Amino acid sequence: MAGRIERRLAELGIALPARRLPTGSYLHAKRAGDLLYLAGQDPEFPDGTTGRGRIGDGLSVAEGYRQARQVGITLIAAMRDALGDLDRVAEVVKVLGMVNAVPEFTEHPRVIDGCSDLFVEVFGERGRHARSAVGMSSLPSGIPVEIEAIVAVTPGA
Amino acid sequence: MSIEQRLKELNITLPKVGAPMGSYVHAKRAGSLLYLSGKGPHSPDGKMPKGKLGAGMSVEEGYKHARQVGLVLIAAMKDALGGELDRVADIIKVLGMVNAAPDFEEHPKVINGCSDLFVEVFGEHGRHARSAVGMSSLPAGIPVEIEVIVAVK
Repeated sequence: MAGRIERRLAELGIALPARRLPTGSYLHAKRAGDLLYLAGQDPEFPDGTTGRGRIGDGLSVAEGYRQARQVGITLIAAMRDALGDLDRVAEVVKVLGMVNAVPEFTEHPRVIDGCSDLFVEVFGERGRHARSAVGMSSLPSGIPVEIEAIVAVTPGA
Repeated sequence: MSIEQRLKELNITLPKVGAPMGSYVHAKRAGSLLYLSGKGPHSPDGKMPKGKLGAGMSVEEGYKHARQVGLVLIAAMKDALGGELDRVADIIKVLGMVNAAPDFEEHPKVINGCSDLFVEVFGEHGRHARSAVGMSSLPAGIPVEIEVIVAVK
């Protein structure tokens, strides 16, 4: 029987990617008490491709928003892999959204909204979080957006 | 085995951590978490290395510098925990910042220098969540800066 959040994802037509291996001696998620720290994730699309490009140099804000939403989906998959059950996500606490952007780019918040809006759609008011949205001069594999998050977890189990 | 014994086994001598470069501290405790400030690489001659990945510095050199940053971070943990590295329960989170040219893409391979060190020294407890990203500039022109969150006993 799927949980409440799994049902919500199905309702929104969102399919989570399968579990992936990290590209080094680190983990996608690590627990510290009731907090779960999630590693920076990539935009991994259901067709197996990963987004590439720089916002303000070929990629529009709208495309950046779509990429950030896909990173959010990857983050939710990492939460599922770490917790087993997404209903154990009590709150999304903090998001650091990093945009691969040209130096003169100024609309980072409108890109990272793609992830923030998704978290609110999926988790409701508990998905609303503190956030920083900033510009990076380069990101691994040339991805346009990397996002890390801290979530509070329901104790027990 | 204690962490100090493990460091000896790995032939690692921890560097000295210099004074902070402003009105901040190297480490701050919040409950059972210890937040460590961003650190740069240390050279045995006391000079800070300079350079940019993808613009003159190789990934292999970057990896070595990231490992050196990891040593400085372990030294800062030791200072913050009254000299007792066995009080490190878990490395929770690493933010690895690489001074890189805009077309550089191998940030994870650089920051692995620090991540690999933490696993060598702390075993499975040293494995952590991580982000590895590119910065357009870093203080004093250092090639790598890394900050970390640690759970303490």
